[in-house]
Amino acid sequence: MSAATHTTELERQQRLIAAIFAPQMEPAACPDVLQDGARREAGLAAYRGNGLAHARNALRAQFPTVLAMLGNDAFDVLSARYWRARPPRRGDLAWVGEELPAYIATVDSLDAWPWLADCARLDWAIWQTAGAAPPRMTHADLQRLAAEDPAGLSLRLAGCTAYIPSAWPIVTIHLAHQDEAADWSMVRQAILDGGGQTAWVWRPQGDAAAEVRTIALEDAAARWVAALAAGESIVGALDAAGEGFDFAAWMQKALAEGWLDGVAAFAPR
Amino acid sequence: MDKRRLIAATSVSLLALGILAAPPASRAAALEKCFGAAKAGENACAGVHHCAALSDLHGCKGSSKVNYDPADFRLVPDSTCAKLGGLDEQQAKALLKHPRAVHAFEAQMQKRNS
Repeated sequence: MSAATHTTELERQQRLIAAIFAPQMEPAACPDVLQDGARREAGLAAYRGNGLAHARNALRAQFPTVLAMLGNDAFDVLSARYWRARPPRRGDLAWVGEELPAYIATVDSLDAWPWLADCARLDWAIWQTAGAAPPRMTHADLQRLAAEDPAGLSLRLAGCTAYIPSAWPIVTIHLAHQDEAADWSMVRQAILDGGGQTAWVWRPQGDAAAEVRTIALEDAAARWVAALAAGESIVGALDAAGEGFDFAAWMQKALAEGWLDGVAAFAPR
Repeated sequence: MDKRRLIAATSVSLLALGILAAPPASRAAALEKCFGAAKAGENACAGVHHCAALSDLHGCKGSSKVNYDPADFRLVPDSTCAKLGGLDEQQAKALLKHPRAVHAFEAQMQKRNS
């Protein structure tokens, strides 16, 4: 396909997308659609319906905890509103839920479940982690860590990990929805207690066949991970973690599970 | 213990223990998409990268309803797809234009793996 043809096709598809998402009160402008009248509107309606149905199915797969909390009907309404409010920016349904957590936080009718947006962030992190690249930490990284001044080094977290701080017990809520015998009174009490959790998500060694794991981090470990994610030096991250953080145990677990991508020169921000 | 000494000592002991895990066999090589090689419910992610062009899109991971549907893929180590009887993306697209060939392919894969 030539560059000129490609541009024309790109423009044609962009016009069609604009027509699909145009307000339906008035006929959508789309000069490339050859039909007119009712037939044209029926065609565009089919595109709209298919797009929404595909998006809804993808969103159900990407946000299982949100789906379980809202139920099918309410989730479908949310999906439809989200589809209209935040049209997809990529031609890949694997990314359709990218903005759903932020969108949920703006929906007034979901105020009764203030933890829902953070639960959605956790669902999305798990979805993203499942397809991320495996960790790249090597022996050379460890040798560098042993030989160089750690004040000038930082640890890079692997792409197959994610941390989600929240003012709500999102890990307790998430795990309860994975467990058929969950103790819901305990979940309710955790919410009433008002204690937040930092979720730590990883896919062991980035293995595509391995199940993604989710735990709640202790406070010191949460501060450590947050500092690493912010690009802090290793010494600075240890300072942030404070007393009670077991660096040796964390590193051993990190290497066994594949939480690190390697060591990099510390670049103050 | 001083933080610098703690970090160095930990690194040395981890090196000595050989704690850095070897990559699991499933990611020793790069992965490739292998179409038509997934049983129902075992697909990696279906049709998502092809929008509605390949099939009536279902949700995603694990939501395939049909055994060995050439519109669905699973991730396999590089160069192993053909050995499993699966198809690359171009082959899958070509096959999906012919419904009879799709049914024949699924039956053949079912027989091969039964």
